[in-house]
Amino acid sequence: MTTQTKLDQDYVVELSARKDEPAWMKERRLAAWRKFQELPVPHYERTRLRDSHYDKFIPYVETPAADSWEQLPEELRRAVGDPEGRLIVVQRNSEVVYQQLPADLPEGVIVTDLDTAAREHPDLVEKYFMNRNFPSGDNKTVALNAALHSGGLFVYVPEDVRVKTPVEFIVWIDEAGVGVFDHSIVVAEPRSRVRLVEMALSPEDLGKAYRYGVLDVFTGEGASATLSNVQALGENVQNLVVRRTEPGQRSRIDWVSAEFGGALSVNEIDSQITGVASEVRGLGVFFASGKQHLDLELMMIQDARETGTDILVRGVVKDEGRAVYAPYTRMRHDAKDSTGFQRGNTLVLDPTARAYSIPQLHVEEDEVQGAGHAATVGKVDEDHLYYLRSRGLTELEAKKLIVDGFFNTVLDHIPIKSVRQHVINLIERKMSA
Amino acid sequence: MSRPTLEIKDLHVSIEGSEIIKGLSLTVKGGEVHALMGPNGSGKSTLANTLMGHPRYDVEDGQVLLDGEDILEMEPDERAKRGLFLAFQYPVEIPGVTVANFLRAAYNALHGDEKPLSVLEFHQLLQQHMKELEMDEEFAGRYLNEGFSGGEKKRHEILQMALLKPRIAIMDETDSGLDIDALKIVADGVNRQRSDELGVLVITHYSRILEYLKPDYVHIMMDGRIVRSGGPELAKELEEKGYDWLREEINA
Repeated sequence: MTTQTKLDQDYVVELSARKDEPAWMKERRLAAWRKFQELPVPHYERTRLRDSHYDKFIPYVETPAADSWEQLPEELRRAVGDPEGRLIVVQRNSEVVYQQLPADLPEGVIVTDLDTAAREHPDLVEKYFMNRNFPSGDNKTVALNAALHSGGLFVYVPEDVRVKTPVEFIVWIDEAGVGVFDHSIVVAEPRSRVRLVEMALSPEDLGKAYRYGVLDVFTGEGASATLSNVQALGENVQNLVVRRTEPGQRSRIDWVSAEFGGALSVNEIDSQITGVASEVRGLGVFFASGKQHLDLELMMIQDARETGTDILVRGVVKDEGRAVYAPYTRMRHDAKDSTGFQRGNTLVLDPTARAYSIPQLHVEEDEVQGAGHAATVGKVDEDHLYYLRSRGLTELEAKKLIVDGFFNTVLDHIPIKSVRQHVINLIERKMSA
Repeated sequence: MSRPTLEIKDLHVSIEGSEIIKGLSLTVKGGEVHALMGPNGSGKSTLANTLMGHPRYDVEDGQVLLDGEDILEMEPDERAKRGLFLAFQYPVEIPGVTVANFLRAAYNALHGDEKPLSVLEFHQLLQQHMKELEMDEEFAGRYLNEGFSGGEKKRHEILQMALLKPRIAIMDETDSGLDIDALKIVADGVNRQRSDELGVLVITHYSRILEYLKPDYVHIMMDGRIVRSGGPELAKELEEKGYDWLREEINA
């Protein structure tokens, strides 16, 4: 158990010195630290955060690097599966400890941890690290992460390059009490294509831990990026994450989020859509059980013409689990000929579980092409249960089949097979618990 | 394997305080096809769903013995496991669940222990039965009852019956909404399964299906009770004279 570090400006300076960082990085950390002091906790309508959610962690834990895949913890290796042929970067607690890149990675593509990237490609990182205005996604979580960040992923894809293999970023948390501050950046230059799969995992029996994650995504004209995350942290972990993007003209962003773990988890995804004819999709699945509280905040602000946004989320709550589905779409005056759609459905398996559905659709432009939203929260249909049971299925087997069918509509849209399979396994585990 | 027997003894069923079935008794044995006919509101569907165990119905009195065992306290899945099957009048639509997955789950629930099948073996068995019912191969990949025509829904119920091999099958107005061709396919499907190891109770409003699925016994239900029983000629008499004739006869 490490001694309680005093968390102040000096610590931030010392952290930067330890990492041997360029001056601009130190300055941005300090600016973020000051902001962290000033800002109030983020406001989420159904998730009440307090200062106490931001002060309980151990800011840094020494973690040995792994020279080979076999040196990583067994539980982690089992969860990830056979690494053969895959592109995998593993962050364990405070540092990235393992990377494996396929030999056929196209030239010019950079995939590495953020610290190494700051050293080896300082111009690039300087250009993209905390260097943009995201009015909505600029909160206390982001400030803390920017000040204390360690580990994190940096991905850069040059113009016209398509990276075939999904980039897999594993955030493995296995030290009780640790605060994990992964700050990741994905840059897709014009007409390039990249897919990211982030998996946040921990041992089942991990005590309390705290993750404050940030992902910033940049797409140039005509580029496309799929950003998926599978969150399956232990039941005692607090997970606060903010993901942000401002897609370039004619580019396409696909967010895919699967939230299954954590005691308290907020996944905030902000898309500031200023690129003409750009498209952003948000796909989500969640499953809150036990005493979990999961919050999926999807914000789409459309500020350019011919843009399209589409949100599709499905989730299940059982036991005393609570889930918040809060999509926010705003089509502003410049969003002529744009479309904005939302669909969200939650299935409540137990009367003690709670689902909060808070869709908002603001259309401030008269000449949009289409906008609409539909959200439902409901119990399992008694007649469906009866029909399945009349064929010999027990109540649990019948509910499992119904839940599988319920998620299928969204699963069919998940573009990455490994992600789909992970989600199917997580659903199976939750139903059997 | 002994002949299956379903014995309904003086059954009284109500829903939300109203008595619908007012003392009904009937016995169906393996090798027999019984037709139960009645006007709308006579309690036919109530009977079918009470036998299957729908939670909404209250059994006030009586017994239902399946192979000598009273099933009224059992859950629907327990009754199914003992060989009871109901072909629904209005099969529900369950989005996202494919026909194939559903049928495999049902097959495994009922026969997975004594006759397990590999995925391939099951697929072949399913295709064979589907062919006999003139159902397209791609049908198995569709979502359960979603967008099915009336005829497809009913044929799918018979497909389940063929696959799950029940001992007692109740058919709840399986003929309603079907044209003559679909009716023949459904009747053929049931006829193919006729044996000493299957007892069938066909619940119907019209006698049309009984042209193709010839019953051994015909019972007429009115006002929650069986008012007349007879052989197949009773169905013809009812068709010629109508339910009003019978009502008058009884009230006389």
